[in-house]
Amino acid sequence: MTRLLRRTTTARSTEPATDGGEAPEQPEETAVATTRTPAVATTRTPAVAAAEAPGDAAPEAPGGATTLVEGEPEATDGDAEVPVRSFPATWQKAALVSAVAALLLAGSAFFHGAHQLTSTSSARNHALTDAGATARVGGDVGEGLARIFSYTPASDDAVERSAGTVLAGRAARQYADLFAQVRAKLVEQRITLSTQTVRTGVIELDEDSARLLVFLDQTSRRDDARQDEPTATSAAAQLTVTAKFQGERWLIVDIKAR
Amino acid sequence: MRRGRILGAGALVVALGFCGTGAWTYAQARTDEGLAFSRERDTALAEGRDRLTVLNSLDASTREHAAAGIRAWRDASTGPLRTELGRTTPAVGASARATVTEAALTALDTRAGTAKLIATVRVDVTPRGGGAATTDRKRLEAVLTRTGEDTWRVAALSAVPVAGAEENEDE
Amino acid sequence: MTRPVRTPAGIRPALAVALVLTLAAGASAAWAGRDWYAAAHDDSAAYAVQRDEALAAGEQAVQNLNTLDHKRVEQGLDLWESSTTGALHEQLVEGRKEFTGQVRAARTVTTARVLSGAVTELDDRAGRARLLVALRITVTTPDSKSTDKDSRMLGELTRTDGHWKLSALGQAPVGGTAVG
Repeated sequence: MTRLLRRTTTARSTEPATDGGEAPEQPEETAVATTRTPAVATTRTPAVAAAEAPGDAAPEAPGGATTLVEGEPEATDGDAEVPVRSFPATWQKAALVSAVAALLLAGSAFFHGAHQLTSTSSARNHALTDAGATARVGGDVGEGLARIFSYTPASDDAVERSAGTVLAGRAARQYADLFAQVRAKLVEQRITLSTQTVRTGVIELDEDSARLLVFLDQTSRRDDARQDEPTATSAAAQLTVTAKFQGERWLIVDIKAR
Repeated sequence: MRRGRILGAGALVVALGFCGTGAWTYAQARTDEGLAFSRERDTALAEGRDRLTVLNSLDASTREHAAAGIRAWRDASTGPLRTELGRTTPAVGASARATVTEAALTALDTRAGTAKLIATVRVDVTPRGGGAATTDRKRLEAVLTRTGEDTWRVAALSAVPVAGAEENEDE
Repeated sequence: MTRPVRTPAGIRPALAVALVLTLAAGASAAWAGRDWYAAAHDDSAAYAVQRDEALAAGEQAVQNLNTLDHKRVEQGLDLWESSTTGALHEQLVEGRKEFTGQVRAARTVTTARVLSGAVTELDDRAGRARLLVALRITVTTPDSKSTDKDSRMLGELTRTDGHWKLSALGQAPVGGTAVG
């Protein structure tokens, strides 16, 4: 009877050592153990009795004692049983570790793949993909260019001031230089320049910088007092414009004629 | 030992979660409509640039070259433009070589497979029999139609003149 | 009795992991398949809805822009401005004062009726559409004489805040090549 008890307790205490699906098998083992007990008892009495004595006192049997008690009864039912009990422990561990490693590897590969897809230059360019932002930058830039390149003889100061709200960086410097050069001539010859943006296309667009291609129609009229009718000349202009988003508006930072 | 088992199970669950999240993120990226749209935009733009380069170039030094050039034009076009170009007869004359200096899409409809493009083109014209080349700058707008998986062809091509009536290009 | 006990003890955890992974794969395949199916079908339905909305809004806007009673110019022009967006809207706002004066002086009453309309282009993603509308415009002059005129108009619609508004309007050319 005590041996019966002994077998059950050892079976239970060995559970943690062998991780995984040992639990459902426990009743089986104990059942097996119970059937074996009578047969074992007769042959192993001295050894078992010796192991039992300290075991009885402490229900939580130390590892060594349990293995000793475990190993011996199994040996009677065939040598193949011994490897099954001790190999699965490490085999299961290896399976678990490799499963975890495989999953982590697969997960990393997926994340890497996703990152590759979302960080191509095509993905970082929001032109046309973000319809609202595209319309916004096209509108701001087109409007800005029309404003800074339209002036009447009387409004040259106003135009220069508005250039501050439209231009920044290199474009602002270039414009200031250009304007300084032609200003006197414009006022003297009473030239009216009117610019209209006829086409805008966004080449590149991200959160705060953009590149556009703009077609402008420019008409200059000369109010010459000597002539009866003002002469008008029209010209087409094509510009590649680089813009930066600053202070809730798109500002033009570079202009290149095409 | 029990703690070891719990740790093991926990590690497995975490790894499963990680793998699942990774798979989901990847699936999202693969099926993302915005990314696919961006890729198609870049394809259409690249194709448009190439087609415009062809349509604005012609080697008319010999009759054979001119005929080959017009065949290349027809290959780069589709729809009404292609029909129109079919009526062009090869003749010997000045040769033109075009470079697209800048181009941008102004509209893209992936459902209908159409796109609108504006471009600035620099054309170097060499008169027949050699001589100094003259450079001309054009501003064009084109309508592209998707004729294959990643293939876009020009269905309409016109210059953008200054504040005047629209004219169609006939080369 | 011992053999069945042996096998599961050894490979149980691996089997469990394999089973879980298979289930996960099956679940994600099912989810992806369902998603694809839903997307493929929703697409056409949503597109058809947008086309119908664009047509209805476009026909109404074109009719509005050809309707004006000199006794109620302000309301009429307010309606014009609310039916339009973009460049066309700017034009109407800028020229409002002048136009009000002209209409009050002419004292005409203009009404319009849509005979037929169709959407010729629809870019759902960008929110742009083109439509063609056949219109009968009736102009009544102060001496109670009214004249009917049939006209074909080409309009461009832009979707702002979910509503389709007219961003360009012009006469369709009779014969010859189409504009734009």
